[in-house]
Amino acid sequence: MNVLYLNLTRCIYCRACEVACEREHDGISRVAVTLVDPRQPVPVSCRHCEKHPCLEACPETAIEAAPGGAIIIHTRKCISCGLCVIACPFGAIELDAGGKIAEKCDLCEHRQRDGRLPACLLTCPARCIEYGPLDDILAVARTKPGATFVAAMGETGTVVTLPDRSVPGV
Amino acid sequence: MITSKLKEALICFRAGRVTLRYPFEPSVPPEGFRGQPQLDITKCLGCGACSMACPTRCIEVTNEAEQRRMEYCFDRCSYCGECAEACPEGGITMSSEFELATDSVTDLRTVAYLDLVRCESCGEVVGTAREIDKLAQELATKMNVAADSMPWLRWCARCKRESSLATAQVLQPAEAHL
Repeated sequence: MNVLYLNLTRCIYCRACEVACEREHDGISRVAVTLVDPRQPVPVSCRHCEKHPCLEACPETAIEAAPGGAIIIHTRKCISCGLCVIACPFGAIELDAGGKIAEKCDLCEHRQRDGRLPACLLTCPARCIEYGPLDDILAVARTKPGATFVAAMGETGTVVTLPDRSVPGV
Repeated sequence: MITSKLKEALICFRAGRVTLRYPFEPSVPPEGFRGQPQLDITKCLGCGACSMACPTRCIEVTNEAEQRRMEYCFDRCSYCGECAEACPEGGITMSSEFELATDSVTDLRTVAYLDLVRCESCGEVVGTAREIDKLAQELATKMNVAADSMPWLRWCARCKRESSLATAQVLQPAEAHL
């Protein structure tokens, strides 16, 4: 199972990941780099939670937990009720501009089919975003200073390390 | 010549009545007939899936200060059944009712008001109270968590993103993977 890893010590709020995501998904970014406090930008996108409230909320079968760990929205089955938007703990799902279809990060499913990595992490100039098997990611994340946690519901999902604010200059 | 006419008359008498007595008797449409959509407003969550599905834009959803206004204008209805298919709660069903002639077009319109929930921090519309109550109950049973442990159900997407790190830390204590 592959997961995303956000090393937030590195994020420089350049929003290049948003541009990369726009390029891959018809001009609409599914990442939103958000300032959570005056000093900490966070690229917020789907955390691909192990316990997935969006999937449980969907009255159709439009949201699927793919075998690789990604949570995928099947846009053709979406009835645009917006229940997943309310259910998501992270604000990572939104209806598209016409209010028609729920959209969120699909870990660049179309790129991964060709054996390519998601566009956001290839674009990130600060190498804040990484992607790989959960155990490898956790091994790397534990070596970082500051708080490490799985930033999703359940035991798997996106791994995040926060900068260690107690150390000056980190 | 006259015998052939008599034969013809005999055939007609034998066949009996071939026309329906409608409208003096009720007409029963065949199975699968799509008549007027029937609305059960007690089931409506106010999600607006029906309005997105409707090709003739019969169903208008607008947000007012405290309430969501759902207006169903069935005078434009094309009886396609898309709304009934989309409704997650089964609140719209296709009846076989087809005698819809009326003096007043408003007879075919229904307006419903549902209570809105606005984001606790910024006031942006989150959804209707019914949607949120339903989600709280459903997620609590399906994911085996307490219904009041999901405060984000009352936050808008932007505010959820802004507090996403705090939410994540609550959901998954840092010690678990340190």
